Order: sequence, then C-alpha cells, then structure tokens
Amino acid sequence: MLGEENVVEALKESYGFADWPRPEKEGVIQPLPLLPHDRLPLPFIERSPFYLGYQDMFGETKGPLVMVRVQRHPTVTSAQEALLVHVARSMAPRVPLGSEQGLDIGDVSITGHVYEDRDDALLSVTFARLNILVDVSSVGEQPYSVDEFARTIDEAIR
Amino acid sequence: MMTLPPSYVALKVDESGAANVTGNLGINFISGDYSISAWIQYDGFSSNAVILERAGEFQFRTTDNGFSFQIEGRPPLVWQSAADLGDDWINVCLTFSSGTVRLFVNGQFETLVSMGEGSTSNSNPLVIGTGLQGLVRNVILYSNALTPQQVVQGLFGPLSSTLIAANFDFTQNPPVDTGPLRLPIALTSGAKSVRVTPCLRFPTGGFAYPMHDPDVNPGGQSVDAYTVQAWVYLYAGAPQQYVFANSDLDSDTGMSLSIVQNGDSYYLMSKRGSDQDGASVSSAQSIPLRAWTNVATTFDGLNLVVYVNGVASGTLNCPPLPLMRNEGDVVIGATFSDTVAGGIDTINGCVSHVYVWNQALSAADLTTYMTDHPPAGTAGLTGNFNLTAKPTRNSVNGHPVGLVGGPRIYQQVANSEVGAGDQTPLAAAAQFETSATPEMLRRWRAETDFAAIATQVADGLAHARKIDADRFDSTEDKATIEDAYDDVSRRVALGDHPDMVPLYTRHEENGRRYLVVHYGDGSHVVYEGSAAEISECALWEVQLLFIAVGGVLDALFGLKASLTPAARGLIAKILFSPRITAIMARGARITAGGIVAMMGTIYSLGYVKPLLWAVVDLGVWAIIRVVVRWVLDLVGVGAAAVLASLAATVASFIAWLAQRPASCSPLPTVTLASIAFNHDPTHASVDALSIRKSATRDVHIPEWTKGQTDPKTSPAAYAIDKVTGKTITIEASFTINTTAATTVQIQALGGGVLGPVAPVTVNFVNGVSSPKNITLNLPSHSIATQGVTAQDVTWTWQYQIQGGAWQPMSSSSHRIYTLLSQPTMPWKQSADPSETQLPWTDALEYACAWANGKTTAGDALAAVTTQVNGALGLTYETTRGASKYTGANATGTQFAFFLTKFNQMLGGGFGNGKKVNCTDCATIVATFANLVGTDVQASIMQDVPLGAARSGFKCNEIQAVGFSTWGYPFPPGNGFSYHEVVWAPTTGNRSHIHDACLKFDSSNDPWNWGTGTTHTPVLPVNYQFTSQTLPTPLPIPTPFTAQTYRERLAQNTATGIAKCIPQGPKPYSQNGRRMVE
Repeated sequence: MLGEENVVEALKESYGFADWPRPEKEGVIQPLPLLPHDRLPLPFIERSPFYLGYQDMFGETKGPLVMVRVQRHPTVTSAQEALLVHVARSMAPRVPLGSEQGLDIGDVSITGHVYEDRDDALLSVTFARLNILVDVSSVGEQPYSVDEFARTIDEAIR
Repeated sequence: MMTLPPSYVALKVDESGAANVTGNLGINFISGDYSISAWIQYDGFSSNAVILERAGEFQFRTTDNGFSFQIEGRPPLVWQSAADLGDDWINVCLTFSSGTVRLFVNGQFETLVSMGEGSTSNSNPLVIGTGLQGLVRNVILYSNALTPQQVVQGLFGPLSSTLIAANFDFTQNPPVDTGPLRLPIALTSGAKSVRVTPCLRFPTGGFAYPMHDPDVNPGGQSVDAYTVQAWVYLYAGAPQQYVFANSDLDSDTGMSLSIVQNGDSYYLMSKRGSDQDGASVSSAQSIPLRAWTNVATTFDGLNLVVYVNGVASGTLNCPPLPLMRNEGDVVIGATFSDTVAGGIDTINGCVSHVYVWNQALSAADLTTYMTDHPPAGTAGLTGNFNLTAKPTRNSVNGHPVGLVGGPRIYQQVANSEVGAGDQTPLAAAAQFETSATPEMLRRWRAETDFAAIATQVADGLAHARKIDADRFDSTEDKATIEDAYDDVSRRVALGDHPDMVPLYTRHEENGRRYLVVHYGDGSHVVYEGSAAEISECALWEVQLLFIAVGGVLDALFGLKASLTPAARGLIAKILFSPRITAIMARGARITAGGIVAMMGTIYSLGYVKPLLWAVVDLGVWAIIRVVVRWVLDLVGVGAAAVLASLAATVASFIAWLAQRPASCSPLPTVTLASIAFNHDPTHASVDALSIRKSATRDVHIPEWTKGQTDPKTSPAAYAIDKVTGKTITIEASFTINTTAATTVQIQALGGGVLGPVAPVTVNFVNGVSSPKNITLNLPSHSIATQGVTAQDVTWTWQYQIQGGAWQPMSSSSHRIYTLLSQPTMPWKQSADPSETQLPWTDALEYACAWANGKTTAGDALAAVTTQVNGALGLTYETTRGASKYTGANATGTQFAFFLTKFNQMLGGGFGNGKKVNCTDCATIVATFANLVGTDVQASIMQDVPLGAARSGFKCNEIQAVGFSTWGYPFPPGNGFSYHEVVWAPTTGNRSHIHDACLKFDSSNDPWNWGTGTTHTPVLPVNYQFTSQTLPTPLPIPTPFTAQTYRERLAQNTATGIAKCIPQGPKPYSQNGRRMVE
C-alpha cells in the first residue's frame, strides 16, 4: 500500500472484510505459484517481472488478449488487503465482490462492473487464495470472459 | 567413442617407459645428412630424458634447461636453450650435416656446432622417451638437413614425403610409423597412449574473472533467455562447486551453474536468484568424477533446463527474478560472496570452454557445440571463453579474462588408455567447399593479365624494398631484405609461372562472387558467396586484410588459409579498428613492416586466436599456442628474416589494391574514428543531453564510432532553450596513416539541423589526433527554429592537407532530437549512464512525433493529449476503471509508469494491451509531454483529501477514450471514485487541465441529458478547472457558456460539482510524475 491505508481500512468496513473466509492455512506461506499454461485456454505469449511476482500474457494477434498478474504476499491477510488495494485504485465507485455475482473463485474475489446492456462483467477477476493474489483481466480489443482462466488458475494453486 | 571436449592423443612416458623401434631406416646417424624433429612436453623435472637415441651410436636428450647431442666417440654437445621449456609443448629440431649440428626450438634457430663425425654404428633399437615423464606427439626423421624455412614449415605438418625417412606418429593408438618403411613401434611398460585435453586447471580458491564484460549477462534481465554451456572435469567432490555465476544471487538477480553433492553422487544444478525468491533445478543424471562432462543450462523465459552431455536432465518452470541487473558480472569456476567474485565454492577441476548465449539453445544446438566452436559473429553468442590457451579472452569481443588465484593452462591427461583406433590428425588445411569447377578456375587464370599486375606492383615493391631495408643498420640485414624483394620482383615479372608469387583475382558468375588465389602450381577458391550477401567493395576490403593474414601464415608457417564465412565476419569486424584502418590506408605504400604491425595490432585487439580458428583448421591447441607465440615474436622482433619472408605478401597486397572495384572510394588517409555529442554529461548548455535508449540499454559515449551506419544507433538530444544563441560543440577523434607529426584541416558539410562543422586544424601524433578528442564547433545550427523534432542528419567529412584540395573522408549519420526544454520529472539528467530515468530514445521517437513542430510548451502538451486520446487506439477500461500501465515499481516503494510495456504496445506488440484508465492517460500525457520540455503533473480530483475514505462524485455523460457514444460512467453509480488528469502548472481550482481520458459536452446545457437534447463532444485540452465562485452555489443556472472543466464533467448537484475537488498528486508518485520502468 502506497499511502492507501486509510482508504483500505474504510473499504474493509464496506466489504465486510472481517467476515471473509480465513483458511485454516493462515500462517502457511505458499511459494509463488506457476501458472498451468497447458491447461489455460489461450496460448502463452510472454512473461515479465511484476512487483512481488510476475505477469503473463496470453492471447493471439488481433484476437483476445488476457493479462494475468500473480503476486505472493507474506500472509493471507495481506493478500486479502491487497485485493482491496485493487478496489482503492479503481475509478469505479464500487467494485463488486465475486460472491455477489455467484463467482466461487479464490478465498475471496472481486470482479468487474456490471452493465445491464453488456455482458462484460467477467472481463476481470481478481482473487486471493491463501497468500497468493491473482489478477486476471481481458485487455485485448475483443472482449474475452476470463472466468475459465481464473478458475483454472485457482484450481492449480489451491 | 564418447564425445569429449576438443582433445588429442599423445604418448605418455614415465620414468622407465619408452617407445622402441627396430629396423634399418637408411639414415647414417654418425656421418650422414639428416634431421630429427620432435614434439614433446615435460610434466615436471625431466633432466636427461631421451628424445631419440640408439645405444652405442648416438643420443639426443634433454638436459636441465636445454638439450644434449652426442655421437659415440665424440665429445657431447650440451647447450642451454633460450626458449621457455616449462610445461608447454615444444618442438625441438636437430639437423646434422657434414659433422655440423644445428638446433632449432619452436622453429627458431638456437645454436650451431661443428662436432665432427662418428665412426661406430650398430643395429640396436631406436629408443624414444625414456625418462621424459611427459608427452610425445611425434618424432620425425628426415633424410636431409632441413633448411631453417623447412624447419618452420615442419612445425605444422610433415614436409614432402620424399624427405621423410620415418614419422613415428603418437597421435593415434597404436602409434605407427607413417614413413615409407612403416617400422613397428613397441611400447614398453610405463609408456602408453593417452588422451590429452587442454583446459584451465583451477586450484583451490582460484577462478577466472572476465574483465568488464557487461554484455555477458545471463539472468540479468529477470526473464531474459540464455544458455550457458561448459566442459568440466572434476578431480574431487565437494558440497558445491561452481562452474559459472553471474552476479551475487543473494541480490535477487543473476544465475549460476554448479555441481552439488547429494549423498555420494554429484549433480548439475542451475539456479536463478536467491534461495528465498529464486529457483533451481538439478539434473537427474549424476556428474562423474575424473571424467569430462559437458554441462549446460538454458532458460527460455519460462523453463529452466539442465543438460548433461547434451541430454536434458531436469526442467523447472520458473517465475521471473525479482530484480534486474543491466550489466553482467560473471565468474568462471567460483561464485560470489557478499557481491565479491570468487573465493568460495571454487571448482576442484578443469574447465575447457564456456559459451554464453542470450537465447535458449536447443538440445541439438548444444550437442553441436559440444564439439564445434560457434563461429565468430554468431548471433546471440555473448561469451566464448576458450580456456585452452593463453591469453584467455572472450573471443566474441576480445575482452581479457583475469586468472585469479593461480588457474593455469593445463594439459589434462585422461587416466585410462585411449581406445584402439583413436587418432587426432596433426593438422589439416581448412576445408572450403566451392561450386567453382576446374574449368572455371582454368578459365579465370587464363583471363588474368599477370603482366599488367607486374607493372602495377613494380613501383610499390620498390618503395617497400627501400623502407624495409632502411629499418636495419647491418649490411647483412639490408641485403636479406633487398634480396627478398628482388626475388619477389623477379617472380612477379614471370607472370603465370611455377615460381610466381601468390596473386588474387575476383570473379562473379551466376550471382556468386569468387575470390581466387593463383599459386605457381594451381589456383583455388579462397572465398565464395552470394553476390547479395556482401558488396563487391566490402569483400575487396576484407580480402585486403585477409591477404596480409594469409600471407603471414603461409610465409612463416606454411599454412594455407581460407576466407571462410566466419573469417569474413571477423575480418570485417577487425577492419573497424582505427589502428588497422590507419595501416591499411597506406595502400600501395604498404611494407612488410606494415604487415608485421598489422599482425601485432590484430593480436593486441584479441583477434588472433579466433582468426586462426577461422582461417585454418589446426585442431590442436598446442600448435595454436606456438602460432600465438610467433605472432608475439612478430610484434616484438620484426627481424630481417621475418620481413624478408613477407615480401611476397607485400606484392600480393599491392596487386590486390590495384584491383579496387569502381564502387569503392579511395581508402582515406584521414579517418573519422568517433563522435561524442554528450561529451560533457554534467552540463547540457553547449553539448547534448544525457539520454539512454530504454530501461535496460544506455547510449554509449561516443555516440558514433567508425562502422556505424544506422542513425538511430547514434542519437543525440538538445534542449532548445539551453542552446539557443550558443555555439554547440561536439568532440571527435581521428586517425591518420602516418606516425609522423602532421597537421590537417578538417570540416564536415551538411549536418541538417546541426549545421556544418566549421573547419578546424587537427594535429596528429603517432597516427591519432592530439588531443585525441577534438572539440568541434557547430556555429550554424538551427535548433532554435525547429521546435520539437526527431530527424536524421548526415555529415560529409573532409580533410585538407597543406592547403590542397578538400578530400573526402567519410560520412556519419545521426538521430537528432530537438526538445523545447530539458526534460522534467520523471526524466532526469545525470552523468551516470546507468541512471534509468535519463530520457529514453525509445520514448523520444513517439513524443517528438506527437509534438512534431510545436514551439511552445502549451502546444506540445495539447498535441500529446490529442494523440493519446485519439491516435493510439486506446480504449477505456470499463469494468473497474483499473490502470494497466501504472502500479507499484519493482521494489514496491513508489508508483511507476510501465513505459517499457507501453512502448512495446506502441510498436505493434502486445504490451499490456490497449485498455487504460484515467491514471494511465494522465501518466502517459505527463511523461511524454515532459519529455519534450513541458513541466506538468498528473493529479487527482475527488470528494475528500487523498488518503481518506471517499465516496466519489457524480458525472455527466461522457465519451470515454476509445468510445464515440455518450454514457454515464459505471452506472448506476454514474460517477468516478476519483479522476486523475494532467494539470498545468500545478493542481488548483484556477489551473488548467488536459484530459486524454474522455470527451465531455461543450454545449450550453451540459447537465441535461434528457431525450432530444443535443451535445457536442470536446476533448478537454487546456480547460480551466473552474471559473465559478467558491464555494459554488448550486445548481448553476443555464444556459451555461463557460468552457470550464469541472462543470462539464460533474453533475450540477451536491454529489457532483460540490464533490469534485482538486486534491493534488497521488502520494508516492513523485508529485504526479511517476518514475518509468
């Protein structure tokens, strides 16, 4: 958090942070996981370094493009707080929890804003599983739903 | 036979062992004419060991520091050798004629003694090697007393078979006499054939340390691909022995390759980064002790693989390394301790070759390079550390390798005897396949006007004869030189004749170029290639140097060289050396002394070994070392005999000069060597700004050196407000083809925005401008009138000697960026080239294109804003309004702009995609606009001060970037939690805004979005935030005509306009100027 502590504290209240699932594995620090490239639906493009982890790109030229950022946090709690940092850095006034949209990925997740006239709610999913935070987003010119991506990754690191 | 590092077979003889030969050679050792030539290597103290003897007849032996020879009944001859008889291979040759003995060591004459003839002979066996405690490669007996030239030529292979009485060849098992009599060779106990591998032997604590070799940097860029491959031989086990390491892995960057112990076995381990955040993979295949093993690791950006003897033996999918390191710092045979190279976990064994690539090789490639050297100039090869001969260097670039703590070049002898049939040929001519038929060669030879060549060469030879003879004081030396030139002149005049000097011609047929050398006994192709592959002129220049190199090898060593593709690339590289250019520029005034100097220069540049590997197929390291030694002799001695032997090469050189293609300009006599634009990195008032190419690549100063042709590789940036009204200066260095003190006028025409270079007087000392870097004025530059630009400029350089006509020198092209002012944060100015926040030319290309021609900061900012909104294909990230191009930097200490990724996207790559939010847009505009000289910040508006819990503000309908339809952001909330834009000059209610993220309505009622209303989209470029009184009474009445930002973005309510308040730049964003990475 870079000067965002108070914002995150406020978000904890509004997002029911105290009631989020705290796996029994709390305290067990998972290593930085590797993505199951062979099981993901788009071809891998390249990997780049990213704070606390790495960023992988998947997709095709002129086709869908998906960016996955994987971070390893020191604790389960700090990974979930980092999830709220994503909310704090969003221009959207409110970012929905995955559970609000029936999404069962990670210990806790957030998705994207819902447009009633557009089916692009799952263009981005960010979830915390143990101390690992994964951000999956469609960044190409073609909309691409990333729920399968996120679910496959979650199953691999669960 | 299993694959081994390049090695050879020899006879190993201990204290009691020997090789015995029985039979009549037909040589009279006591009174006839004969020669004995032997290759031997001591392994420790070997006083009084037998080289060759026959009991009761003669004995040729070693002594403490020399050799002895005795014929039965005559006094022994004992002499101390001037040569270094250490643990290196030496060739000793004795000639006997009419009772006179001459001795040569490594081809050099040592002594002459008249000892008379003997009277007692017998038929006892010939004995070789008793007591040597070393190695023998061969012993050759000649049936005459060799001449000094034959002795030298005999170093690299047997002379004419008609001279050979016996050739006891120990380079194959079993050893054989390849001479005419095929005499059997019997080995006694204590003598055996062994395989010998030249290598670097590491003592405890010793290691090899390449000196400042920054481009050898595997694992330095976090996810960069690489390959490290080496041959290793372990004498003993240890918990961990490092073969190779790049930087201290505890610093969370770099890689290593080591042998680790697990139980009683040893395994190859490839590691990336630290124990905590790095990754490592070990081989399933164990590494044997006391055996040569080829070990390798590759990383392709994802998978780390270890290979043992070319077979993959372990794979690990790896995350990126946490940190990057722009310059490599590698060590061989050890690792780092507290960032200091060496000292711990050193290898107890030998390493023969280490190759480092900036790409992941396939298993097939690794197998190839187990036995074959990667050709010089091979793409991706950054390190080629041949540790088998001195001096140890990186053959890719000639950088030296320091040997710390006592590693030494060593001949590793395998324990076991070699198998029957193993052999290593002594030397073979380089194989060169050609499509030229014998008929073509005959035709080309017939078409060559040798008489005309003789005429062209005559004057140059006469000149060289005088200059080379004048180098010596003694009448004898002068005569040697003059006789040699007279002989060459005679042979040249013979034309097509068996005694002719080698002459070269070039031919082109069916789209292919051929270079042909004509000897007295025939013609053969030394180069062939596609005409499209190399220009006629470039090939002519390469051939010019090749003639010198090949001539030296032929004249001094009897080696026939071929201009292989590898040699061609290497010579082209050597030609860029100013010192070589200066010698070559002597043109038809070349002398044998000049050719010797050329060889010395090639040696000093570190190119001798790779060049020899490329032009001749020697295959034996020991011989290479002798060649290198001879090159050293060439450098240091330049004796009359040496120069005399090169007279024919001078003739070939001059003859080739006369065949200069019309497409080649005359060789310049003054050469432009370098240009520095940012010659004073601490100031930018009269020189260029400090810049770099990207996050990972700096711009080397001088920005231009001879050979560069792409202007983008020679960039310079100027701040208009810094240099307006001032004379810009650059610094340049020059060379000239004379060592005499000379004064020359130099100028450059053209130069585009930089204008011509005013004439300046340059003094030369020893062929180099003095001072080396000359300050040149650019009084006519027009930077002040340009505005923001990026343009290529070309200078045509000229020189003038003693008031004569201006002569063309060369041209140089450069990429020049003109900026309104010195770039502002995040961009910095520093004398430290490793500062990553120096302006990037990769970004200047776009910034200068977007703001092209703008002469004010406001216009430039507006242009950049307009481009970002409408010309880059960016679209708003509608799911959350999340940033894709900003975030925590690599260390998590502040916010960064992921400019490398953004540039990748602008260049047509994937980058991080084209989705952006307001923070992205504001950061892009601020970063690129500040690069061309504006001073603006990205800053935030929201309902509460930054850091406090916020609820956002309601917005009117907008057209987000990439959209052409109106809509509320994030319905049903219809607002932003915050919004970030570019403010100028600082954040405030009365300041002005540039917002590339959206367009809003410019009509007189921006708040009414009912059916039937009409709205006109406008991009907020230079919009005042608000002109209303503060606090503003709401609702504001319509019609509303003020073109202000807040009112057109926010709803006319207490949750809209009243909540849209300037709050300042985001914390940890460098005051709204995010660092770039």
